[in-house]
Amino acid sequence: MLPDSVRRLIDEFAALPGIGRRSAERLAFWVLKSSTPEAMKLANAIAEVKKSVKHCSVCWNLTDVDPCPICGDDRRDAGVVLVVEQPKDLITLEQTGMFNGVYHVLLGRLDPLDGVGPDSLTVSSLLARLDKPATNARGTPVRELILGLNPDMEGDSTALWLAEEARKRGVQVSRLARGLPTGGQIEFANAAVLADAIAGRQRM
Amino acid sequence: MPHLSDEAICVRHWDFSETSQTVSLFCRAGGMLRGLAKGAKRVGGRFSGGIDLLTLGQVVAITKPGRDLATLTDWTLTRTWRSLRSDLAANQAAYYLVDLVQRSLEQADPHPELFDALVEALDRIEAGHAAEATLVFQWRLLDELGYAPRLDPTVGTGTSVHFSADGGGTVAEERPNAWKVRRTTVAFLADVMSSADAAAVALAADRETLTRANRLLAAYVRHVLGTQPTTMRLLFPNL
Repeated sequence: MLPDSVRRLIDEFAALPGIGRRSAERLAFWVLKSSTPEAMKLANAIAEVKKSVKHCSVCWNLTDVDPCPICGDDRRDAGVVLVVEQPKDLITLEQTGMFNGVYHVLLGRLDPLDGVGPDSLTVSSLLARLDKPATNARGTPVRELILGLNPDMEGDSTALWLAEEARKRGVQVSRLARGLPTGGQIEFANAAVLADAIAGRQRM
Repeated sequence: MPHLSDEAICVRHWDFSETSQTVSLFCRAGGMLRGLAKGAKRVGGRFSGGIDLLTLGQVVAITKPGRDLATLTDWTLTRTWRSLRSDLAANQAAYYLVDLVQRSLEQADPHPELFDALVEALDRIEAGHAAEATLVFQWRLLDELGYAPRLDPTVGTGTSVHFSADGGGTVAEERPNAWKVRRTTVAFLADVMSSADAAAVALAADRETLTRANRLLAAYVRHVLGTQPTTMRLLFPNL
């Protein structure tokens, strides 16, 4: 019933994460209804992002300039590196405005049950930053590694492995605090969160 | 639709969508259960914020005949082992144990004694005895699956004994592919296996004997599984 090109567009939208068939149809009909310049703006934005965005050669964040604006910013402390799993984690942490160091994006985490080892991630590049200051942002030696991995078993396994490697190199290691969320209620927290909160209590 | 409620340890999990998970749970009464936990990762939901690997909880699920995947309706986290998240040796030992479980057991094949052995092993790892826990659990798994090796430290002569994985344990004479193992290692393993308190025997052993016995059992497990899992390589790098 529908022309092939429209069916193809619906299929492409439906392949996007979180988009079902009905939503894909709605998006396709929005494209059909919109003016040609409007529709081409979307098409060009997709083409542009695929052409110009790459990984930063220092931290593996997504960027259109190399090194990325964070690694190139001389107001930031390049001696403190916060390690995250994915670029979206970096964005979330950066939005807090609380961190003034630089990042390293692993592009995944260790998962021994799935056979994902250090070679599948950007670990060698991170270790090179620790070993050779010239490969770190602005040639600065790394003093501290902050492990900002997800607090699940795979994230913790990755953190333990990286901590061991950093300690061998004499680099100070810390990890993000864990426990009760601000605005949350003790009554609704699970046992693991409460145990973390008790173990990580702070002197007042 | 039958409901089940059981004590379970998560031995594998995968992201199904941004908020949902599929999980493999080792249930005490029901054995392995694969299930879908819709919205599991939402904070404050019915799944304690997500089902994490190597945690113990109470699961409620709906199973349908002929379907491999159950629908999980509730998960109450009851137990975590903190050292698995703070000590690399403990973490790698625990990964190895759950990997053995998820590779060895079929769906809906109950092994309550093995479940208890896994909980005991994780407790022992938590107490700082990862090597002893690994040894006893490897033995308990092999025994439960009917692959317990025959261990006779009196066969043959000299300080070493021939161990044939194909032959199911120690053998009197040399065979192709048989391993040469120390008589003391076999004697120690035989003690562990015949003791009512295997953990106490393992705890009393010297480090070298314990390491040798663990490696022998791991090599035998590798033979039984027909593959060497990554988790085994991490724990026994030169096996």
